[in-house]
Amino acid sequence: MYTDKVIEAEHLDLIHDVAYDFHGRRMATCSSDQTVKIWDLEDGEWKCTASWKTHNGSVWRVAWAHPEFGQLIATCSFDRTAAVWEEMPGESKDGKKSHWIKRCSLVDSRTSVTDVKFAPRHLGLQLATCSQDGYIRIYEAQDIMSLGSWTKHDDVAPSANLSCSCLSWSSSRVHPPMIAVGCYDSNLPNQPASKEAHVILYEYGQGSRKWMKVEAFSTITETVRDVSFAPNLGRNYHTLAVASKHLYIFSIKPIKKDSVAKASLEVKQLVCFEEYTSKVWRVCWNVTGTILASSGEDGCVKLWKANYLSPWKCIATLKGDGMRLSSVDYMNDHGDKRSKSLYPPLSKNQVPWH
Amino acid sequence: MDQAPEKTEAVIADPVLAQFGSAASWSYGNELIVFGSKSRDDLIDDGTNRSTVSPKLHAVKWNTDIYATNLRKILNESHGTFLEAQEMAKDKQTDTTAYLKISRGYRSILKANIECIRDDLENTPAMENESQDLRKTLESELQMIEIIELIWHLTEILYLQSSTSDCIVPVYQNWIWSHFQEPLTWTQHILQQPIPEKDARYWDTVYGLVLQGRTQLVFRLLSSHSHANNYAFKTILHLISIMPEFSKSRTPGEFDSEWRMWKTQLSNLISQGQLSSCKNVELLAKLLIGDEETLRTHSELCDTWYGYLLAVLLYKRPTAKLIELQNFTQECIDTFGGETQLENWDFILLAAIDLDLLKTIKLCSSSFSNWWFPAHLTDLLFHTGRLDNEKMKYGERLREFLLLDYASSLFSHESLWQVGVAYLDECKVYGKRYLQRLLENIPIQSEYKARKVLRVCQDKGITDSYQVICRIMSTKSLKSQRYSNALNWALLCNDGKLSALISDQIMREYEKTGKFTAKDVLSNLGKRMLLCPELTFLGKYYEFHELYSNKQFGECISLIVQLLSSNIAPRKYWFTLMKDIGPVLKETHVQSTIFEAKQLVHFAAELRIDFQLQKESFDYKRSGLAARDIRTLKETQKTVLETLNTLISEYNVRCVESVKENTDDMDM
Repeated sequence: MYTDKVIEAEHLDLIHDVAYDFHGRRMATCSSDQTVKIWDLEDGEWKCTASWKTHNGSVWRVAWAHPEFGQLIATCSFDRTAAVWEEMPGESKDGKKSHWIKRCSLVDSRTSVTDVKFAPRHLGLQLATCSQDGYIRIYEAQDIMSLGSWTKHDDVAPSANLSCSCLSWSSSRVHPPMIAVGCYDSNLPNQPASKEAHVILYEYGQGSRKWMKVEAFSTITETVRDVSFAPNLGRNYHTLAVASKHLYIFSIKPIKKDSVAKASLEVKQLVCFEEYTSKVWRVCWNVTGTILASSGEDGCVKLWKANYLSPWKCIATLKGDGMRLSSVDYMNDHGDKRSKSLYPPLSKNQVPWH
Repeated sequence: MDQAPEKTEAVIADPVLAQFGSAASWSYGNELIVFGSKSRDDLIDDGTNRSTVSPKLHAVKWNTDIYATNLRKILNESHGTFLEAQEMAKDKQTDTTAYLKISRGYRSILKANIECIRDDLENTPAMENESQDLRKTLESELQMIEIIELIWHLTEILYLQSSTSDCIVPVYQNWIWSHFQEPLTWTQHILQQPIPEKDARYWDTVYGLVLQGRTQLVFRLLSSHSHANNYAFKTILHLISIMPEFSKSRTPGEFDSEWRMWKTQLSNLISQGQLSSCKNVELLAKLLIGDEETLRTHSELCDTWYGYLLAVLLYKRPTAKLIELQNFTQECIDTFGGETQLENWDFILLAAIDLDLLKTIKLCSSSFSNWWFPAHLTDLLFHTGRLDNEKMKYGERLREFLLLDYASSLFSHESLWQVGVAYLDECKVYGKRYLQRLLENIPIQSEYKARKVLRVCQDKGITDSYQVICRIMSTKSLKSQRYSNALNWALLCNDGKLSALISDQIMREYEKTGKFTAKDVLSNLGKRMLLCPELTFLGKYYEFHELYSNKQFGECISLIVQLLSSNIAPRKYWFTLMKDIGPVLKETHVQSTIFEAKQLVHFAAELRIDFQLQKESFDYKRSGLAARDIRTLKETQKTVLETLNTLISEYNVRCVESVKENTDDMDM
């Protein structure tokens, strides 16, 4: 049984990202209208509690920091910057319970900043950005009271010919810090595409204190639009989902060799869903890393799960269908925001998936 | 092997999704936000891609069963039964009858709730508009729980109650009897009529009773007929009264031959036309001898294919064993219109009857919008050893897999997460890691809830989550300037870094407003004072304030000198500290050793250097003040320093003189 609750986003243009906070009680949305909106779940309803202009261009991504560091979000934009924002409690002039202030602008990129992600909690208050100029930059704030100054730890570029589109931190605590980066060809469309690997793994060398390229996925040479590490619940390997022409899932297992000091990685492609006929845009995991949601060009959201017996397979499809929406229904949607059931429970000939 | 579809398609009505494409983000539980978006490849020129439709967000939820009030009751109540089963398993209990008791325990919880919902439905007026929605919800909940109970009961009789060599018919009959009581209700109704056979349902009820094998009631109904003394009636009544019954005192072989003899007797009567005087009685007799055509034409009276299966067994093969059951299912399903007419739960029953446990569990998982049923059923079957046989050696993994999913689903609920903790305890491989992750994610709206979660962390020895939750609470308080609270939380998880930050804030606030917060925490610091230098200082500084208000001025000066000379006081606080000493020095009767007085002179000089170099306490760049304010501040600080200087000099003189006097006294 599915229920679909429609929320008017109140953005004036396309939404590019929606991010839930750690507890799932707040979300942030960002859009081409250059604003970010914060939504809070109050009595089962999502209410917009803040909305402000964040950048001078489309805002591509928004990310929440772990609540241990306070109520912080990071945004990145076409305007070549990334920014860190903090919510300040206390009544503001317009009667709202809190207001958001800009703590810092990260202006190192000379081109559109395509993704921004906070590091997992155990690595402290770090964030990584990636941009069209092909650089990944890692920043760190000293502590939660000095959010105004972020020191750039490192910047690395996978390849001179590639732009970066997306990145993901591994949440594993038992392995060295790891970042996966997805790329696209920065060449003009009429030039031949390079056959370089479009997904690169970086690992932080505890000794060298540098981010080192440790793996390139040579099987993926097409534009990569999203990468996402599954939450690591103490497993001894990383699981990475990649959204490209197809949907891929990899397992990455660090192997310690006794003779060589440097550990190497054993990368296995678990699946490549070629039945995906249209481009995949986004991939994201549930909290326990057991279900993957993929979405893309075809307007569908597909849910994938690995079973105790069978490998990954699609367990549900949510289809975006514009045809069903007549103008009359559309008006009704406005008036009646109560949740409506897409299917009655256990109705005839219907199998709700698990 | 999978006839039932495994995928579901749900449709989200939104033109933006179809026009551009979709994107989704996960929430905490079973919730996704789906929204229409566009690939950024297509957004080369910024700002020209405006969509014409206002964008929407779709909060899509599933597995919402646990939010239904009645199922929630079941989840809470069954928790105890689950724990009981685990205890039994720990005692190496292998006796199936013990687990049969557990199974019945689960079912009685289900049945109690079914009754409860029925009562609610009766008390909900059917006519009023506003109660329509409630009725619908209750009805669908009722249907779901009834089906769960039906399936559970069947698996119980098939897997816990019977062995493969037992005759299955009596238990199967029991199952049907307890779930399909309509003929019974009708019988009571008809028997209350003045002339029973005038009731339009008289014969259908008789046939219905026959198909369920309720022969005693058939006898009573027929006896109530006004023609009961007719020959046909008398004959059939006699035959029904001598119909052989299956009992444990007889071997199946004995029963079988007796039954065959009885059947032949009845067939002979029919073929001789002895019952033809009453067509209804003759039809009844044909049912009793298992006449295929007659059975089929009256199959509808059985309601379902599995009800019909009972009739087929009773009159065609009353000694059927458990493993033979599956030989008759196809015939029954075909009679009821074939597989296309089957519901999801029909496939589950079918899989159970086929003794395909794995498939039964799989279908239970995919057919219900909750994990309660498959998880509990699997757990029970696992403990009885039914899951691990020659073919299937994955019982333990399957059980953990389902328990993990069930427990995780509980964590997305406001209060049920506490039940979830107990289930994760039973997952030996991944339970603890799941618990850690899920505990950290629990939304904490109040201190009360935080303490509750912390208690679980402590009980389960999950220090990591304990610290994370304390830090979240501390940061929250720190950012709302509730320093006392923030410090409390930071101390709870022994976080030095955080304590330092908070101490710093308390000092800054004191410098700004002259108000000392967090006194309650600071007065009870004890050993925890040593957590970080900032806190050590703050604790000592608090002592200074206490001494001052108790007018122990001499001790005040000693303490400050000690703080300054031992490097406990961070240099950035020196100004504040020295400023505080002013009022103490003004007390004319206060004296201390010459050494302390000299130290004060020394530190005052150091402070003046800081002031000149604009360092530490006088680092205005960090203050974020406007230039004009900084000028004013500088002036004030300068005055303070000058006054302090004078005071310290005077004090020094006083101390020296007093020492002199003392030595003079001694000389005399």
